[in-house]
Amino acid sequence: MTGKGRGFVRSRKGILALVLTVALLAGCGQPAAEMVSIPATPAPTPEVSQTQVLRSIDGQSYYTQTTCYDLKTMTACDWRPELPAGYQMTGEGPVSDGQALYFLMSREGDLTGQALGRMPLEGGDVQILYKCGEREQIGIAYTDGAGEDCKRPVLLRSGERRCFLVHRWTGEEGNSTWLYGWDLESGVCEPVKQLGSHVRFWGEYQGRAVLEDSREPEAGLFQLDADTGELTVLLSGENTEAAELFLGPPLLIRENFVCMGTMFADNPDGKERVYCLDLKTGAIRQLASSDDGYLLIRMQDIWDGKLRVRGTEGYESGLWYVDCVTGQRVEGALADESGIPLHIRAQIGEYYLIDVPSEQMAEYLWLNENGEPVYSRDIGRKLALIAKEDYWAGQPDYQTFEREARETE
Amino acid sequence: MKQNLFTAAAFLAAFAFLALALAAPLPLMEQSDQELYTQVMTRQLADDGRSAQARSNEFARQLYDRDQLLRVKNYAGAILQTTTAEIEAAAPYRLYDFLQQLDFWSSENQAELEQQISQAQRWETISDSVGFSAWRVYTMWEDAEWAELEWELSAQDRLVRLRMMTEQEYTWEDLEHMMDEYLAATGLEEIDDWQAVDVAPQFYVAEGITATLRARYSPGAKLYLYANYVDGVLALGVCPLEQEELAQFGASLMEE
Repeated sequence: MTGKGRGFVRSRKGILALVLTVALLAGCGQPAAEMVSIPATPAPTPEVSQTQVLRSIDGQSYYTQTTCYDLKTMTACDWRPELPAGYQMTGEGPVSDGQALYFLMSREGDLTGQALGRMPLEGGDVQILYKCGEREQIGIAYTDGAGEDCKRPVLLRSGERRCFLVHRWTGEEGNSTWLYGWDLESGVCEPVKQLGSHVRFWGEYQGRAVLEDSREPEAGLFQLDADTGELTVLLSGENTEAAELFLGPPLLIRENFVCMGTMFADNPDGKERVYCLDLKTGAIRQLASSDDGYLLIRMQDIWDGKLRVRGTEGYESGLWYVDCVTGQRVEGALADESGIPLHIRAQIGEYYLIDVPSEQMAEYLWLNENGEPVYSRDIGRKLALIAKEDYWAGQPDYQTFEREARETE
Repeated sequence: MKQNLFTAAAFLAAFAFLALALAAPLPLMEQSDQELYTQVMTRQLADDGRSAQARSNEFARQLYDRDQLLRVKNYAGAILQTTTAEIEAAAPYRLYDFLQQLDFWSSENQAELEQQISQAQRWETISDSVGFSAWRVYTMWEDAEWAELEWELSAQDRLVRLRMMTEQEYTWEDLEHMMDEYLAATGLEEIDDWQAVDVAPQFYVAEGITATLRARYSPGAKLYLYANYVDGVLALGVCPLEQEELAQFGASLMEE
């Protein structure tokens, strides 16, 4: 409160005026609106994902780099594991197998010093499973919800082994992507198999990782069985129509859908389009294009068969969902005041973890490129849990996480 | 008719009585309010966690009050608006006057600064309600690239922040010396709990690039003082921060 405001309240004349004004308004006012109580979303019983691809939920909690969201108690608390000296966590946060958390680390100011870390859920020291050598990188991807800066390490469950991808590029031997395995019992980490020369993870199908090799003659889309290292062909160059569209550009693969977007510069008519391949039926469908009202069309994510699309043109932008099977727009999803559907981060059984606008402004302090503290304010966001049916029906019947008081050291 | 006159008279009498009854205590209230307004407000001084020494230092108090009470945060020119302003002839001289108090500010430094200001193509400036002013000047650097020169002064012309391209390289000893002189020139050296801060770049520093960050923190005044030299840019400034906020950008007090 400013000095001026305090002066008014402390002034006796001010108090008299305030009392009279309140009394007057009380007499003229309408009856107070009836309070509507929104039934709280019950906390779900989280299920540990049994797909080979690990996600950001450990069965009880969802983690970002700095916060742990407990799904049973619906509380959020700070989470800052003590990392090996000189390392900082990178990416959006860890993935979990229900026993431990796995995350990517890098040395401050050193882009080549990547390492894969593991910390048991019950706490304890962070163990380095793999340190990248020169010209090596650990595979990362949108393992849960896609979005900006939400990439996490690609970790695959294989019995008592946890597998991950290492991309290696050397001038003489060429590029290669390796499947590495770390054994829970022996603690040994070793290469399992060279998967190809230029292989990327784009999502999962039937619980297994889907990799793309974009280099001829091996070009194709493959399903990886982490137990055996076997690659099963999902799409090869023989299917010319699909191969022309889907082998090459970045892909988004969820459930049985493979989506890709074409760029305006590559199309003679200067328009962008998003196509979807149904791996079950082989059908290819156009889901969005510049004809929807925006020049630039980008796919964002797929949730329960609905593709989230972003369109931009100049300062204008829009977000909407399209049904991957019918190609029709999905109307009525839960949206913010400006009509933008709320962002989904992850799914837990029949629930979604979503970002909801917060009344409070978030404040950030960071160092700029000259080492000066910079203070920024932004509209805050809170995480919330919502039943899937409520999200698609546009019912704001979600439950937010209560922030736990910071523990004093 | 007579009854109507009687009713009107009674109403007027009642109104006059009510008006007198309400107005009677006004002179007393006026006097009481006057006393309240002139009292020293001790409440805010008692529970803000700052030391008595920091509260009695004028510049420290201005920086803290501006931040905490008025919620004006201008760290690193964050609120410097992109409003083109007329060149204020006096503005650079206010800066020159402050810098010339400092031994580390050499004639070469001064010439470099004056040259940049004389080549300014565009000025932006903003002032806040407590008299602090910030300037940003777009200037040509070495006849080849555009550079931004920024500075901020308090109402009493104490430097709050300076960021400029410079040909001179600064070592960590230079930066420490700069902070010593800055504290003396601003009167902040009266505060005796300045501690060294361990701070490292949080940004990517390419091979061959010099990035030297030096900083001090006063828990009593809740002020963060920094002097940095990164890739040909000198940044010197002071800003209010809570001690817990240091961790947000990876800084911590050095153990003695």
